[in-house]
Formats: sequence, structure tokens, C-alpha cells
Amino acid sequence: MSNLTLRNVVKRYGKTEVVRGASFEIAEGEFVSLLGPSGCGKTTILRMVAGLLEPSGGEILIGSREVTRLPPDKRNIGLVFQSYALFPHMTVFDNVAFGLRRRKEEPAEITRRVNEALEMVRLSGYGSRYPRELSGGQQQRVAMARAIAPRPSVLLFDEPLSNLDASLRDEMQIELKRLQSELAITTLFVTHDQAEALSLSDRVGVMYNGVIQQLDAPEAIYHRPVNAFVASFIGKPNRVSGVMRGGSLDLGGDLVIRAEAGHLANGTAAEAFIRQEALQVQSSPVEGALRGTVALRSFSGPQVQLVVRLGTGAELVVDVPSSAEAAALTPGETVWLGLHPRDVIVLAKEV
Amino acid sequence: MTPRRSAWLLVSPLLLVLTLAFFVPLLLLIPTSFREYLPGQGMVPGSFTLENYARILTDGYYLEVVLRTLVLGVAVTVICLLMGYPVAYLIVRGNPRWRLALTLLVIFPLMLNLVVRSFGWIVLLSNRGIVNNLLTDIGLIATPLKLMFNMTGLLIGLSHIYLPFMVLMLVAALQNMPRDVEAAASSLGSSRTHVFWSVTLPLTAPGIISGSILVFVLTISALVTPRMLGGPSYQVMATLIYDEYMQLLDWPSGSALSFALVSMTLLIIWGSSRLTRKWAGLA
Repeated sequence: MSNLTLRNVVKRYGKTEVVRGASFEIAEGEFVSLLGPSGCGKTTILRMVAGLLEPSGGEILIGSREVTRLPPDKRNIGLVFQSYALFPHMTVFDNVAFGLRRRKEEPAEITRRVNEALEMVRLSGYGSRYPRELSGGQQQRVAMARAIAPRPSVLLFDEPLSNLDASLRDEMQIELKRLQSELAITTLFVTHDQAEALSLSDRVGVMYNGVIQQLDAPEAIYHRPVNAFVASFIGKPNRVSGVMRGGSLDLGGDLVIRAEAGHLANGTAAEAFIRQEALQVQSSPVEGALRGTVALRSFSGPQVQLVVRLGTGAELVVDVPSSAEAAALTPGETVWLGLHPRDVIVLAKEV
Repeated sequence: MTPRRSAWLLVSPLLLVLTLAFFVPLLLLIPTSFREYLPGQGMVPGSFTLENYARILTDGYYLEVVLRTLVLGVAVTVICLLMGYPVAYLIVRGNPRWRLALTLLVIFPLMLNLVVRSFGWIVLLSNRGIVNNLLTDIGLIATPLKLMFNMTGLLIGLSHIYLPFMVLMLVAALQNMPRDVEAAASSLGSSRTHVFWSVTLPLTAPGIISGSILVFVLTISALVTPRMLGGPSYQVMATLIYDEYMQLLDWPSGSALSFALVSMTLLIIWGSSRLTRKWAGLA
């Protein structure tokens, strides 16, 4: 087990840069996710770490060993794919034993470690089955057992849960988290599912356009995004623009969003990102609240979603628990939206 | 309309043609193959004999032709597989810029008439053909090599003609194979050679088997090329059947040989499809 270091890793196809200088370090036993929309370069980074793609520049280290140009079989990694990628012509046992046999382990040791790995993914007794006889979730657990059995230095996951249906995905998330913390293997996890990334990882790297925009703890990514992309990609926050005045955002039309953004000079064009759960709906005027009218109401079980139109024409989406008083509001009614300045993320408008 | 009925309607034109032009004549040949044949008089109506079949297994000449056909079939299949797999691999995995050129190169011979291609081989392989003249001129050989009217000629000609079929089947198999599986193997410490033998080859087994069946069946039933490159005396089953029918007018014997050829084909297809299922683990 060891840490993983990327130094200014670049991948170019012709003139297009798919990954533009990725530099980060994953500490020993740490779980880091790369999160981003498709085509952002996250899978390219993973494939370069795996040795399936050659970087156009920069270097990759596993522990203190430089592996930038080494083929995958010389890197001591474990790979888990979205497609499971099991060997269909081998039994579950042989699949898991594959890596151990390549290391020329003793047969008794192979049997012991295959059984141990299968036990870890709760598939003891499935050794003699073929992959096609297993469900998708079971196949993915075999793939994990196969990846961990040879005790790799680094585990790489390429959207491993995306092919599973929703309920199974939640179950597998817990399983994966448990497995990773038990083994404490350095892990790089690639996904486009933000809930998955936030709940599993020690740190999350949000990627866009070949650049890691922010690499931080999940809470920091959620509450303190560094730029508009991260702020709008994580969750679906309301986004309103205005001009800075004394640390608050002036939307015009007598509407001011109080914030704690003293670092932005008066007159700066800025945007506020407000999480849907940070807004409190009141039916009577409150000091500092924004006045608006309910434009739409939609019920989704545990929550009622209200779209509130402000005087400026801007619309804010608010989630209200369906048991709350505000859930009974109907379109056309006047409401006041209260929010704590602490919950408002204000960022200077990007040009 | 039920899906079942519409399915029948959809296949009915083909079924009609097959029934009239294939199944019925084939069924009519069954009684023929059990008739007695008297030279100079022809088929004896109403007679019944197993002689036509027995002869295939007992007569030395017939047995030799059957064996030769089988050896030819196996050898051409193996040659096509060994020469075709690298080409198919290069087409699928090689530089995309070469893909079109290579594919065209493989398909191009299929656009030429079979007789023309076989004749081309005669020009090259005959005693005073291009190959022998060249080898004599540069002093490598004193007397011409015997490249025609024997197994060598048939192997060269038939391998060339059926190679494209093998390549196309293998290209399809390689394209269908998920790359992630190979990547997974190499991440587990498997070198490129080991990945090929332990993953790529078994996973393309269905393509190898179907390509081999195709080439084998086409080879053992080939008529034109063996006749042109083997001449009138170096017989395989197809040319022998042709001669029994057209030269000797011995229809019973020809029919029995035909059924022997068909049974051999069916047996091979049955056996190899069982093998595929066992080997690849993919039904």
C-alpha cells in the first residue's frame, strides 16, 4: 500500500487537451473521487493511472516509484469497471485467482486468499459459478474481489455502480465504503454521480473541461465551492446575479440578499448560489426576507417544491417538507423567503 | 395477426424456394442412393442395395478420396486461421488509418470470378509457370517443383480463396470482444502475450469456430478450384461426385457420396458447436 501522486499530468489528442495539467496526491489509504460531467477528463486520468493510456506529459508515482510509462501489468493496481469486465470463460474462483496466479503464489495460499476475498464481498460459496449465472450486483462484487485479492497498492474504480439499479446502488455504496475502510487501500474513484462521490470519499475532485476545479473534503465542496462551476454542479442551487453593496448582493428592485462577502468590493458584478434547503418560506413579512409570489407548486412525496418569483422576475426554487405549513401554499400567494447570510455563497461573476 | 403467424409469413418465400429447389430434390435422392447401378444399363428401378454406401468405406480408392478431402478441409482451415488471425487483429486493433486499406485488400479477391482466380494460380504454379521459371532462373532448383495436380496446389489455391471468409468472421469476433476485459487482465499482472492467450483467444473462440466451420465446409464442398488445380486425376469428394453424375452417369453412387459429404459436414458443425460452448463458456 502506498500513496498515489500525479504531477502536472497532461493528455492531448492532436491539438485538443483532454486533461490539462492534473496535479494531486492521494495519501496512503485515502479515498478520493473524481467527479464531473461526461467528457471532463476524469476517466482519462484514471486510465493514465492504470497504464491503459500514455500521458502526453507529466509524471505519475505510486509510492516513490515512477510508473508514468509502465504497462498496467507492472503497476500493482486493482481495476474495477462499470462493465464488470469479468472473464466470462472462467469460474468466479478462477476470476479472483487470476491475479494471484500471475504472481506465482502457492496453490494453498491462492485458495486461502480467494476465499478470503470472496468472503469480504459476501460471496462465499459462489466460487464454482460462472459470471453469467450471477446478477449484476454479484458480478460487480466478484470484480471487486478480483481487484483486491492480489493486495494492490492502488485501487481504481471507473464508474463501478453506474450499471446497477438505484436500490442496489445504495447497497453497494455501503458495501464499498466498508470494504475500503477495512482494507485501507489508496483509492481513486471516478463517477458522475455526486451523491456517490460525496458520501464515499475522503476528498472529492470536481472536474470540468480537463481541469480539476476543486479538490477538497465533501463538506467543503458543498458549502464552500471555489467557483461558479463547482457551486452549480453540486446540488441544484438557485443562482441569482446582482451587484455587491456592503458585503450583500443587490438584485435591484429593492431586493437585497444579505451575505458574508465583505471581500468583494462595492459595485462588483456577482452571483449568489442559494441551496434549496437553506430558504425558509414564511407567509408573513420578516426582517431581511425576500418578498415573492408562488408561481408553481409540485408535490413529490416527502417534499413539496415551490417556485417563487421575485419582484425582479428572478425565480427561486424552494424545498419544503410536505408536513410543513408552507407546503399548503398555492400559486399566486405572497410569501417571504428568509435565509441566513451564512448559507449564501457569493462569487464574483466570471467573464 | 399473432407474432407467430407473421413470422411464418416473413420466412415463407425463402421456405418455398428451399422446399422446391432443395429439400424435395434432396429427398428424391435418398431412394436413388439405394438403387443398383449396372454399367451400360443405368439405374435398376425398384432395386435396393447398400453397396453404394459400403463402397465408400471399403473401396480403397473412395476411402482415399474421402480422407484426402478431410485432410484438405482441416489443413485449409488451419492455414486460413493462422494467416487470418494476425490480419484480423491488425484490422481491429491496428492503426485506424490502415483499417480501410487492409479491409479492402482482404475483400478485393472476393470480387473476382472464382475461375479467374483459379486460373491465376495455374499461371503461377504450373510446371512452366511463373514461380517455377523464376526459381529455375535464379538457380535455386534444377527441375520444376510439382506445385499442381497435388495437395500443395489445392492447399495454396483454396487457402487463398477462403481466407477472406475467415478474416471477416474473426474481425467481427474481435470487434465484439469487450476491451475492458483485456484491460482488467493486464491490471492483474498479465503481460500482453499472456492476455492474448488467456483472454483474447478464448473470448474470440466463437468467431474462430464459426470461421473454421465456414472455411471447412466450403473447402470440402469446393468443386471449381480442385478441378482446375487438381486436374482430372487428383480427385476430392466434390469432383468425384461431379464425375459420377456427369461422366459415368452413376447416379446411385453419386447420391451416396453426396449424402456422405452432407453427413460429414453436419457432424463437424454439431461437434464444433458443442466445443464452442464448452471452451468459451459463452452460449
